[in-house]
Amino acid sequence: MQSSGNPVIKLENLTKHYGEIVGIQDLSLEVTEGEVFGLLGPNGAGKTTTIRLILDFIRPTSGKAAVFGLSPRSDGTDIRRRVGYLPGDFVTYDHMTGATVTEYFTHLRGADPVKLVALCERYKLDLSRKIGQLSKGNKQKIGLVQAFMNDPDLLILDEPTAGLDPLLQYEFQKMIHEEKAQGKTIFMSSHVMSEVEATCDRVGIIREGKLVTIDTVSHLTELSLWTAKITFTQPVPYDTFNNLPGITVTDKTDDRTYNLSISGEGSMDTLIKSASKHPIQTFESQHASLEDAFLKYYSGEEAEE
Amino acid sequence: MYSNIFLKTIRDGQRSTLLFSAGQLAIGALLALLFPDVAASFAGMIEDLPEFIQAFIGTAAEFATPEGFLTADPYSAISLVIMFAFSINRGMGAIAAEEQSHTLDQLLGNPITRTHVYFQKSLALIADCVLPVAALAVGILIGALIMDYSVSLSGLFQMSLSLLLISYATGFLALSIGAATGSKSIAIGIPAAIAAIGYLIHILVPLVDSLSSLKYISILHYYIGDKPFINGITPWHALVLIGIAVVPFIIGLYRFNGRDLRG
Repeated sequence: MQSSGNPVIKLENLTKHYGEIVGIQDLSLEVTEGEVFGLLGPNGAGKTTTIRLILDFIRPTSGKAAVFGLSPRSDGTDIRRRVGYLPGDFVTYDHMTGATVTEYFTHLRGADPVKLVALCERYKLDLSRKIGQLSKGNKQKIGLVQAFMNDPDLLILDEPTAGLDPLLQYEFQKMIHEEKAQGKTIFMSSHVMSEVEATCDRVGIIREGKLVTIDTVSHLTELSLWTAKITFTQPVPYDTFNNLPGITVTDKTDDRTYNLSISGEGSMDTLIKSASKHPIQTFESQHASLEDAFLKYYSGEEAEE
Repeated sequence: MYSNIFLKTIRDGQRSTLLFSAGQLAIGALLALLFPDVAASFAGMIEDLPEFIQAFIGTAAEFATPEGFLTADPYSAISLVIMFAFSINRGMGAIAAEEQSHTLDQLLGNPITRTHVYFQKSLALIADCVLPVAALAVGILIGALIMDYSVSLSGLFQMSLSLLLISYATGFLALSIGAATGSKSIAIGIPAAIAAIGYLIHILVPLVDSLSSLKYISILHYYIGDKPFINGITPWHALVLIGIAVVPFIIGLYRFNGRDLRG
């Protein structure tokens, strides 16, 4: 199902300061109905702050947030009635069993846990055990189950696959695709690039509280484009590539072997034309991953360009 | 038991509430059993004590009655301290402990308001304090029954009511401070200090004439200053104790609704 264009989450110049410390600064974004949106950033970048502002756990210094067109502050219960939320570093009541935790949240939400049984089967989750006896991965499964079990319209997931093994991470990705197919909107933060690449329609990269870029996953990876490794049969001067627009020498093993990246206004055509003036022994190139794009934005390269 | 926050909170504290209540019951019964022998032994001794000490522990005439004896202990001593510990711990646990253990975000991720959480937790505190206070009274009645003497039921009820009110005062101080700050240590520290200082003043005032006006700043004055077991509860003392619970309750709710929750 394609997104319908109705904004489910709308943040306008949202700013949160903790005294002198900037949590997030002038963050604006829209997540539309049916969209899977990933917020990427290193620890402390402001991902969890953004989520906690959306859910009214903390209040903005300035700017505003709207979810389903409602204010988190004044219409919080109406918003959260339609939201499944997984907190980061999910912890819950250690003395309770998985069954009593899900029973408790079912009552608080006043909604049937229509997906509970299927989710437990999917994640092979034993709800009879006390939470305190579970491994981190199994606790995270409880967190995912409680977030999805009432079939909410919007899922807000903070680092959803933390602690899950690769098989379960894959299962989670499948589940996101299924939710999207049902028209659900998903807003998630993540460190796992492959997961974001596999699940998200659009990504916002956040650094030091500021949204560095926001784009589709495919466009972001296209922007960072390609990396190339060229080995020549004889030494080649550094200036051959150094002054080419959008092409950066990332590593030079010796005068014969160059590692290069192509981004922005650079093009493979320019690179090949310049390189072909010299006798080439080998030429390898590969498409950059979202991780490369993320690292590029995180290191500040793109912001400074 | 998990159909709402009130019932879950009661269920979470059930074991500890039962243990505290069993302890209070045993203390009440033991002291009631000891009364006939201890009162007889101490009566003559108290008569020889200076008046200011009698003012503190009770006169020989008062001590010779079960109401006077039981006012001194357990109601002025061990059971009061137990109720301070119980109510402050429960008050702290209501919001601050949940916040510091990072489960409050998850709880408030549900379609409920902070006010709803606050009220449900407060109701649980109100209910939780009843059982240990009642158990103490029941223990006293059992002891008196075994030793075949009578205790003023009205006096026992009013003493119990006063103990309940002072428990609410310290408990709601802890709850509201915890809700206002999100800090367990502050939520325990301030009410514990108020109780301890109040206790100290309550002990010192009868001994030092110049301190007599200080008695009004002791929370214990409003609890037991007029000896509710013997003389009945003084309405305005009860109102002061209720006020000590209600005023912080209102401020705590206001602050809880207005502040950022700890992540």
